[in-house]
Amino acid sequence: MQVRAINIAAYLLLFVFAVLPLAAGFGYAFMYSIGLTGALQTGLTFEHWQKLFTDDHVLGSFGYSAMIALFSLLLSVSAALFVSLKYPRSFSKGLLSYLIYLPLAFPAMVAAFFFFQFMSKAGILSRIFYRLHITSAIEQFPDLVNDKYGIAMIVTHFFLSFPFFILLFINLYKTERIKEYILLAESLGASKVQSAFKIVVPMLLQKSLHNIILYFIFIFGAYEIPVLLGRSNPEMVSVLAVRKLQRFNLLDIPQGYAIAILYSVFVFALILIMMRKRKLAYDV
Amino acid sequence: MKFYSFIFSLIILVACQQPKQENLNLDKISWQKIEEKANGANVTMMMYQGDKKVNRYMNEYVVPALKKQYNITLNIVPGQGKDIVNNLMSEKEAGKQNSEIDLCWINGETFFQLRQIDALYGPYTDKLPNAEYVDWENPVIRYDFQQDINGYETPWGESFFYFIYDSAKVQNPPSSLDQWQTWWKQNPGKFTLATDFNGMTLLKSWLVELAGGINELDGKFDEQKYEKYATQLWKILNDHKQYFWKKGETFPSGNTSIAQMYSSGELSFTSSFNDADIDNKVGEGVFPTSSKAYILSAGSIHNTHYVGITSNAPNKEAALVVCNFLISPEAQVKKNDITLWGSRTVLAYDKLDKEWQQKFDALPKRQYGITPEQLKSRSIKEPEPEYMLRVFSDFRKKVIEVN
Amino acid sequence: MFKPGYIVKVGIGIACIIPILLLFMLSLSKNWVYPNFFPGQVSWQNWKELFTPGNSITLSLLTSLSIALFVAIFSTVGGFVTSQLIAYHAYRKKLLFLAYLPFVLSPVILAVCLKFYFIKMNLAGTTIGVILAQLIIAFPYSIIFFIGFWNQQIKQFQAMVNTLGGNNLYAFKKIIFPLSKPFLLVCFFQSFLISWFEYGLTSVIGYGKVQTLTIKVYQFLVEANIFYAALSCCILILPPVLLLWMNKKFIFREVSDRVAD
Repeated sequence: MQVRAINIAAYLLLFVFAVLPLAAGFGYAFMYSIGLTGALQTGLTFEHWQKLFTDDHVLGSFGYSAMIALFSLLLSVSAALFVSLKYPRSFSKGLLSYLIYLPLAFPAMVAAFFFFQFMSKAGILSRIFYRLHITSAIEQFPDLVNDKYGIAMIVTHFFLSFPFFILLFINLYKTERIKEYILLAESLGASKVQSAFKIVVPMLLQKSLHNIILYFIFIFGAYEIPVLLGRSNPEMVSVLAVRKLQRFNLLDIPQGYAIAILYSVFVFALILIMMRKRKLAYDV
Repeated sequence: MKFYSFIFSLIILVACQQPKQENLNLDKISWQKIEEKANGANVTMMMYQGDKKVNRYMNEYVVPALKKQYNITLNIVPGQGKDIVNNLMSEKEAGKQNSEIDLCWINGETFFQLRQIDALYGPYTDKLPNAEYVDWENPVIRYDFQQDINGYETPWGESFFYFIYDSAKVQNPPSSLDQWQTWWKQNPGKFTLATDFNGMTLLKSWLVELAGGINELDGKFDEQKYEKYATQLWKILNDHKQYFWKKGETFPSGNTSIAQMYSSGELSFTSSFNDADIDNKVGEGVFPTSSKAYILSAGSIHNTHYVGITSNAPNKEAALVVCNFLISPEAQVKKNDITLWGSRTVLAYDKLDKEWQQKFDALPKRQYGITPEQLKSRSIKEPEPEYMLRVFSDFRKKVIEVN
Repeated sequence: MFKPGYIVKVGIGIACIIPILLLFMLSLSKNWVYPNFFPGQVSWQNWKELFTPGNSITLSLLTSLSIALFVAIFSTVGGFVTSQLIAYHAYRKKLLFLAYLPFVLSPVILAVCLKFYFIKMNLAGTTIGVILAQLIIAFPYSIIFFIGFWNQQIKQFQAMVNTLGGNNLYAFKKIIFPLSKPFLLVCFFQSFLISWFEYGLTSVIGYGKVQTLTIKVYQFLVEANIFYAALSCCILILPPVLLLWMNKKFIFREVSDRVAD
């Protein structure tokens, strides 16, 4: 009896806090995007969806977000692989093993604020350059914030994700008994470089793949960081969707909802791919 | 299990708790009764909070004064025009009876859109005792972006748009569009505009200049005229944006960042809608003392900002009392004070008692700002709100998104 | 002493610590004019104002704290119970998929899609509304977190207790709870931090009326009030830094459904 009550409660919780919000949110967004609800509803229309695919700014924004996410991850994953393989012990003991956790204490908003103060033209870095006589006027300092290549955004995501991946890899290194595989390979005559590239790196990447995919999704949908450090065009997906949904032109709202749905479908597809590769603890 | 059912019943309870809003009939109630009903109420006001001085005026003067005089607790929540419209529209869509917002700071296109979705309460301004001091004969006050306010919003203060430059660095500040074009070419990277109402007002000023004066754009929104002048403007901007800040590839989202970049010397110009801005910022040491204010050749767009009551405000009596307080001579003197906010009063000087006239006279004078004489011949009225809405969306489509 | 390895390590260490130091410096500052590296005035003034009654940052601190505590307790307990159901369920992968979705979606986008319902239920702009909204990400997180806990071994322990005549309550008290205690603690702190760091849902569902610290930071930025922004940032990173000092595990949020170590 007791077990049944708990089970019912568990289903209910899952329903109320996961299934219901998704279904309801989606339903509403979809209805809005085809003109069937909202204060300025027009009746059934697919015009907003058509516009989505003809207006290259929307697809461009998806591509741009993907590029920023890919690039940030490429940097942080490879740097973390390098550092955690080269100096595995420094991050498990001593001062550095504490310091490396500090960036994890930063919410996105704080990290974005800091890097704005650090990298903008009137920022800390620019002042240091000026003091060192590398620059002699404020405009000589390069554009690092709100810039074309999203440098400030990538740096901020790197700052947040690099320590995460170091800690992840060091953890995996221990739990997956990688050391033993290396010893085995080396006893069979493999060189250090060979064992690193043929065994360790593929193993670590494979074991952390689903974490990398999740991180990709998080950067892809990030809001606070691009809103402070990004530029007006192109915009990251979240910024674009929110702008369409909250701007003066009330006729843009349905398109904003269409973007929200397109984004969610993309994320769901990624999660499906990720789930396929995973085995749950109970199945092992 | 009990706990969960508790939570659920709580949700359902909250969801069903929608006491119908009685519509306040102003003809049948005396002002004294209204004040009685307002006693002890909570009022939420949504307003633009991008100006430190304005925030200080609200937090350090208006909030405590309302508490003391009327026992009303005023909560201020941040949100610009688009947020106000968006929130109230969502509430309408959800059929919410009691709005989360009682009052909002609005004008122009926001007033237009809120009226469109019927989200404002009114007409009510006649009922406010202090309305007798308001300068209703002034068309800038009576018409908000050429719309008759019809008692649906309380005039709160007058503003006009002006430019600020550093006279130590810029000798002859450009005034006409032709001069701007030459200046941009000669000084790349030192100019930009924000994508908020300040930047859009600048664009409207240029539209007026291209149209050869406000008369051409006066009256109802005219698609053909708009297209004619806007196309010219977008062309000029697209031809020159390579000389803008960051090569015109991005624009700041708020005027605050432009002011910051002006003070650090990254930009040569900033603009303001707040009369006392330049005096304040020079006084604080944020702007260089060589800063000067001037008006562009199109003239200075001159408007009034207002306070509106939402149609579903839970406590309209308290909202009315707040509106009445905001146009009291006392609150207006403080608002006019450049050490506090410094926006011009909406009250007619002649209608005030001697005592208040003296208080207005005794206010500290502006040192850097535009003088009333300078403004007199140069002030231009706001075109219809649709011009603003179009400029907002077209600037993005036809300038920002064009590479 | 100056081997490349040493330089890399020192570099990483400095990069980790410098943001905190500089934010702290800014929080003590007034008057920070380009191109001066150090601020014109340094004082405890901004910090002292925290202790004056009615200070808005202090009020936000309390709001954030109470919301985060509630979210953490509820999602940890709820997630623990629900995850067991999912882990032993025949369709566990499909059910887990459902839990992943709300957790990974961009909170602001989720929020704008849900705003209508929150308004409809009179929950927009209220603290309860913000708590419920944050649970939509914190609770699924907790499920995903605990999925790794329910492995074959635990199931076998439970079965063993049952065959030996003990009931489920007994199994829970004597075996599962002691084994899960460290997990519960980690999940509690991580859910706390999810709520503590949350911006998107809070800003949209909270209407700006529920002023948590992250909302406050954003407001100060709009106002260009960088010293108050820096002060609020310092307070925001204080709890996670304290947790780090207590136990490093508390702040490493690996989203994993893999076998527990």
